[in-house]
Amino acid sequence: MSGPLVCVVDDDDAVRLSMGLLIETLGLPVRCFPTALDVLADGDALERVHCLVLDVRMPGLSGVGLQERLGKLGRVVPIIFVSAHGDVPMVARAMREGAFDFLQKPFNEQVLLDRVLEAVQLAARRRQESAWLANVQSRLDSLTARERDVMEGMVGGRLNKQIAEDLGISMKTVEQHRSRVMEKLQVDSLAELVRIVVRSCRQED
Amino acid sequence: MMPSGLTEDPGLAEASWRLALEAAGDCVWDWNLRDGRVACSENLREVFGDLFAEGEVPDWRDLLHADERREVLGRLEACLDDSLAAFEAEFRVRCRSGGPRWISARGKVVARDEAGRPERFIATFRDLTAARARIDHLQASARLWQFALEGHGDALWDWSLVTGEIDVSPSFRAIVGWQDGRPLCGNDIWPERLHPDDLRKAMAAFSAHLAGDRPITEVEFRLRVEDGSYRWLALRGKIMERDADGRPLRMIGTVRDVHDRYLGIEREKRQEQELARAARLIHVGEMASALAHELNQPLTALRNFSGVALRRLEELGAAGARIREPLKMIAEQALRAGEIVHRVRGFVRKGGLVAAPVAINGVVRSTVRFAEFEARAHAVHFVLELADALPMVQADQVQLEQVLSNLIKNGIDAMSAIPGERILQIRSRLGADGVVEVAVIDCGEGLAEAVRSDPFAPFATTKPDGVGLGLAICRTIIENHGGRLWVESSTARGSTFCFALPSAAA
Repeated sequence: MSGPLVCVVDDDDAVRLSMGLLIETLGLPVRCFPTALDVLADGDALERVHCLVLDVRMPGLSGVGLQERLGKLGRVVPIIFVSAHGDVPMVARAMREGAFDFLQKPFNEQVLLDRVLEAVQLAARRRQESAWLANVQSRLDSLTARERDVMEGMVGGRLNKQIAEDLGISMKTVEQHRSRVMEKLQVDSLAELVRIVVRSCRQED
Repeated sequence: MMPSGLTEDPGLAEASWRLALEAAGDCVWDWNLRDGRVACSENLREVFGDLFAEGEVPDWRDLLHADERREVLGRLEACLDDSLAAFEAEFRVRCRSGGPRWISARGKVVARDEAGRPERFIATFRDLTAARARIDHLQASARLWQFALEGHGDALWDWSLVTGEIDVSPSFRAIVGWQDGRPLCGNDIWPERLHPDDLRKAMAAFSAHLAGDRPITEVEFRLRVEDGSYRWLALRGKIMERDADGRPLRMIGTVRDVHDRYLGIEREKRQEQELARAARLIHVGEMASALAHELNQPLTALRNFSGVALRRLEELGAAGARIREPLKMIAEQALRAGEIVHRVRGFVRKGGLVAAPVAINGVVRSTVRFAEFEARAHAVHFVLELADALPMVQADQVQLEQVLSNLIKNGIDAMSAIPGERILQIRSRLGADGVVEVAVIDCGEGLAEAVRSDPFAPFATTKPDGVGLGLAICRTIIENHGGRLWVESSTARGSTFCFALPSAAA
């Protein structure tokens, strides 16, 4: 089964259970882990996780340690840290590493739920973006070198005649390449072409 | 040399007593007033010194020291007049070598004519110089002794238990502030001027010695001085005279002004108490820190479970309405308990100070960064005015961050009710004596009356959910760094909290 998943990691049984039950009230699937290493061992969870609710101080691998491991694995997951120790340096480190939020235990459970939802939405958006980007990229990759040249001329706002002159080919050849580009990139108009190319460039940045 | 012109009956007896006198060191001076001739014993030079040449018999009256001359000659005159039965005097005479000599003279008119006019006057002179020197020495050493006692800060008193009169030294009078030398009674001083709290102790010390239970009276007490204030004095006294039955007659002793020492002791005692209090606070901090994690876990679960229950209650609709309110309260109280734990814990880290050179501006910037979340939630803007090129301070960065974040949080809270722009200024600058000062300035409503007198006192708080340890622990931290934390000002337009830390180089 695939789909968004919220993962809760906390070594305290009652906290873990209560957070699981709480997040389930959002109607989201939740998986709970007593240690950070258990998360790393669950490939399915790593694949689907949209939000990690992570205790900072745990035996074995700490929450911040897990955050670093995930970063090295290239898995960008919004992480909400929860800690019974709100030490300033710890918060600083977690936030610097890109934590989505940091909540001190005990917290207003509604704040946690709101932040979990936001995190899940962010993750979903990120996944869509990257899926779309992968799709666009594969389409761009299907272009021949000559088609790519013509596409760049089109995006650069040059007329067919100018593109023909630039590339030293006939107008007719430009028109053929042009329709092939539109077809391969699955766009109906020049405007749409420009939009996806610009957007993909921005995503890559 | 035999005196000439004496009466014809000198006889053996006279020669004998003259010899006896000479052997005792006395010079005999035999004056015939009828013809003015003088006969003098051989030892004249021994007594009067070398002013006389060998064989010369000048008049001793010419040698008199100016200070005594008038007095001595007056007495001699009175004796010759018969208005004085005997001539007695002590005087100085000039001497060729050394200082003046002290001479003791005793004389008598031994013969008068029918009209009562003196005919013969005999006197003996004795050299008192050495004896006088001994007396002077004794008096000087007595003065020295007194001087030594007083120089040591001891004032003297001499109390007659018979008359009750007490003689006190000038320095005693100076302590009490008595300007004049009027006579005093022991009762005027004790118990009259004793501090009520010391009265029983002081009188017990006197009684114990008077009753023979103690070898001396030794007691410290406060004595009221002339300006009405009390000074701490240390008294020592001893009975110096008793009557035949052993009843004490006279007591002599010293008092020493130990006021400053006493104040010092009290100050030290206060400092010790402060330290103990600080230690207790740190202990509380550590304990709380350790407990916080354990407590926060069940509190989190409690809050979460009640949250879950509340949400499931929604599914029951109206049926769950009566349970909802108490359930909400459980949820609220769980958070409140957590707040209290948070406030108490974490200010003072276990293991004490980890001091290293720290750039204060860096501490300010990092703390402000962490506080941004909360500031934004309360619509508070930070304005930083940080001085360039400040020296480093020797400090535990984490503890400084805790202090600053606490001051910032207080500043944010102070502005929660004001309608206008909420600005929290943080300034750093180089203060006097090379200290680095940081000021946190809010534009809130100022300190509440309840905490204004001592906002740093533990458990002083105006926050409904506060425990009032924040500033107390902040101050402990700053003071542990050899610095100072204070309220620069607090008015209806805002408060300024400052702390100063010594620079790392200093």
